[in-house]
Amino acid sequence: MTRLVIWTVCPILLWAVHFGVVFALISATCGPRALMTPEILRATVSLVTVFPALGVLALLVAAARRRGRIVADTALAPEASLAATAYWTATISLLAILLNAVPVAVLSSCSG
Amino acid sequence: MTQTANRTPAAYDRAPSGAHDATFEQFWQPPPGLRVLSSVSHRVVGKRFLITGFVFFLIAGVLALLVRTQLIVPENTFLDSETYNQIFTMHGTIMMFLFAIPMLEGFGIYLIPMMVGARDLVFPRIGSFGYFCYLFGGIIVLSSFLFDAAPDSGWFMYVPLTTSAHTPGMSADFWLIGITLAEVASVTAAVEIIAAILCSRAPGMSLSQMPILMWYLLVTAFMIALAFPPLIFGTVILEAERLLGLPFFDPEFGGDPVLWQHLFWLFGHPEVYIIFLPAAGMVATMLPVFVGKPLFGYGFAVAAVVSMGFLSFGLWAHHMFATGLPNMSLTLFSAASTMVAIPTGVQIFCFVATLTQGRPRLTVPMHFILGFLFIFVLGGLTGVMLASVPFNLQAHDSYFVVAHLHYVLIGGFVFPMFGALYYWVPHFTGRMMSETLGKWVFWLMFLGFNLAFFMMHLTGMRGMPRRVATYPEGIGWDRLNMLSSIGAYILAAGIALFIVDFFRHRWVGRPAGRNPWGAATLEWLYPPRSPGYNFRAIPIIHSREPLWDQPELSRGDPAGIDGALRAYPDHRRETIGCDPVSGAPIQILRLPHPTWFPLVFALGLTMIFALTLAGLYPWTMAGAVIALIGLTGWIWEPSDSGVIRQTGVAGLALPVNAVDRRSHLYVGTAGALLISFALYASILFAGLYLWNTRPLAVAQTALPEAMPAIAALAGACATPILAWFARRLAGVSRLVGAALLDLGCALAAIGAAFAVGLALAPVDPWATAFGAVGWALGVFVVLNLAVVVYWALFNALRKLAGAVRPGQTLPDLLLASFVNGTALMVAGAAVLFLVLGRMA
Ligand code: HEM
Ligand SMILES: [Cu+2]
Repeated sequence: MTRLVIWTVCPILLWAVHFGVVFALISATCGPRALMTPEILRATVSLVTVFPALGVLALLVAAARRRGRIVADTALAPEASLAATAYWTATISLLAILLNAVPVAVLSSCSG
Repeated sequence: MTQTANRTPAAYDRAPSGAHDATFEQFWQPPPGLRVLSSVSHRVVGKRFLITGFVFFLIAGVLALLVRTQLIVPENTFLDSETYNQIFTMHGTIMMFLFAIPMLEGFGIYLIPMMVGARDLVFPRIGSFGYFCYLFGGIIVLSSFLFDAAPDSGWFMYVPLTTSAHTPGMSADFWLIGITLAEVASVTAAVEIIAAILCSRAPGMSLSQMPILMWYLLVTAFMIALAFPPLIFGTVILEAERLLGLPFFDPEFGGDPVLWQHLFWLFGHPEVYIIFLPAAGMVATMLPVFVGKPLFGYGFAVAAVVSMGFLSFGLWAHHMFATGLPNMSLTLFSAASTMVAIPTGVQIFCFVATLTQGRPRLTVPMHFILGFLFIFVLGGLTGVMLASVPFNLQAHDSYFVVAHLHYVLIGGFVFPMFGALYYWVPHFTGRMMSETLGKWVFWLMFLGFNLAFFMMHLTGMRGMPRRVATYPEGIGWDRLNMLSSIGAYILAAGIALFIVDFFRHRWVGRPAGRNPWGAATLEWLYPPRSPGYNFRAIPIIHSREPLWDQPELSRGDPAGIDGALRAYPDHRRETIGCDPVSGAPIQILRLPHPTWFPLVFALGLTMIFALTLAGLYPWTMAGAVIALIGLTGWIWEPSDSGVIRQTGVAGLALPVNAVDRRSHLYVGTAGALLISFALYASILFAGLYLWNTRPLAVAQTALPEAMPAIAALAGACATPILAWFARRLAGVSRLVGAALLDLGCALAAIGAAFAVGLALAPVDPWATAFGAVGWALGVFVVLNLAVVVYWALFNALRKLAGAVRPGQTLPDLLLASFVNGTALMVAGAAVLFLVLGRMA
């Protein structure tokens, strides 16, 4: 059960970190210091998006498989709801992580 | 006294302050008369929170009526514009800080132990302490009316309006100081709620078997722990700017007024969810009862709550769309604002699906639940509209926003809260409130509310700005405003009728009897009012709906139900401590008996705040001394840990206050560290923000001294090592050696604190905002080091004074973990002093 709790918290925590990083990168690009160009920003954001997204995807698959096993084995029934929780937080987090990257992907410049 | 004589001898066979001639009922009795102020029971404290919160609701409600009376006709002169500003500011402030948050804490404090199967909260004294901070803070805020210095800058206190230059009087100080004091209650309640839910559940209640409300409260408590620190930091530096002239927000010295908005909304948006989630949790608790079926999709709902808790932090800047943030950032926040709609929708879906599973009984609480669904969904829709940047720029600061905010807050909090009051009121009075009057209350409130606030959408679309004391005739705003005001009076009539019903039912209400609603959760085990200890023996739980699925719990005398801790060999208040995940019992938790120390501590703290407000700075030392006395008396109690006692279930014997990372004290310490880290992160955020947006001023800031920074780093590394060895020595009972190491740890912490000060010596905090933030970081880590010093000295003193027996290493474990956290923060600050300034 502890594992399921970790699976629940990890994806959404990854979202939080990802959001913070994307916000920081955008601020660094669009602030007066202009620490990077929009092109570099785009490359960096893609990079920092791919890995957490894949990680969350892995957790999603793991949670889904765990759910399958629980359905098959009634001894695990008490865990069923937590497995559903892990599955759905992973799904929501994955979507949210991808959405974080959208502004950088679609806008060509800070103001555009 | 035979019981005492027959006790099996154990390692520390004494029961400190145990009342050996008292029966179980007697030593759980709240103290009589005025001494009830020393009571720390969650039932007493929870009720205090609820009553005080409701009184503040009424006060703020009257202020709202004054606002609506002013606006009922154009060019009204009922209130002058200055008074008007004070009144809507106090209305918003009281509703948000002194009503909604304390009210939900009151429900949490009252209900958590009863729902998870505990006899009290795990930290009852913290609850009592928090209540007094809240009460005194609230009184400070309110007293501003007496001094004709009521704050008038809006509930979010935007800078530069609130700086000394624009608000020279005391009004902003009343707000900043009073609210900060009241915030103390919020963060302490957060730690308390987290520890109570994770550590004191009945045997067998695993995480997946907790009542759903516990998930909501757990997530809310974590959110409070993370969201309040930015606000606390913001209010403290704004007050520092006002009192000391530090230029945090002054553009002339490289400060930035927008920084306040960031800090405020980092708190402010999650705040809306902090208010909404527990209310939704109460709906999720009541709804299944009236439908007669378990909540649809428990796992689903938990996923929604957890993800909402996080996502709601990613929205803060959607309140700042008009501040000229780069478009790309705006789109990021807009994306997150849309994203949060998904879990919110999932949740509403769970409710609706539950509804469709059976034919709901249309009781009064059920009415309020349906009202909540209707209003909240509408509020959500207007929220989605506001999340789109172009519409937002249009509707910004118009009455459309006022309408949206009240649909969310009143729909999402006030309606569920009234439902909950009707639902749980038998716990306070033993009687049921009237079903007939209750329906009147509901319809008056519902119709009045919709009349009042639906119209405000329209006034907003017709361009009426919020926060205006009056408006000209004949531009199409008159009739809508008139209707809004009439609606507000009808809403108020509903609330007044509720109060009538409440007092009436205390005399003529039908006695509730056992489980009057046919509920599934443990708080209904006894016929209300349950005895003050909640459970004579703590039942074993196998189901999420124990009263539905475990017939033995509804049969016979509730006091006779089998369970843990029926025997009380030490005549102490105690409850079962559990593993946070599985719910398996791991320890017996000793609970405090009534004590005055929390009140003394809170009084000392209040003196510090009030005397600062009055400008009597030297006298604040007196407050500090009183606070320290209160705190020391509070924590100086004989330790029980190490005793092993029978639990009375399945031959299980458990240690009292086990030395374990799963114990409530460890979880509590971790919670305190979480808050501390959130404060630290807020300071770093401010520094990075200024570094990024004000490069010129940063370049003018003097660099911290390198050598002392390195010394601070060394000190930071030394403290955890010393604390670790102290713990090891205490573990093998070399108490004197351990005490010496504690003293060493205190010395290292003092050294590190001085090094931090020396490192900052060249930085002039008045010269630039960036330098001021550097000092804020320094002061914050030094305060943490001061806690380490106090705590290490305290531990050493106890060992030397013989108050610690071999094996009682819990204090050492806790200190060591706190020291680790502090060392991390000091080291981080030292590294930043070395690096960041030099990168300018
Ligand atoms: C009881 C019925 C209520 C009425 C009739 C009411 C009425 C109003 C009105 C007319 C305003 C706009 C003032 C202006 O912009 O000039 C306002 C502002 C506000 N209200 Fe309420 N309100 C009520 C309940 C609540 C509740 C329950 C909450 C929160 C839990 C709340 C929170 C706020 C806030 C935060 C503001 C913004 C204050 C500001 O602009 O600084 N209100 N209210
Ligand atoms: Cu918001």
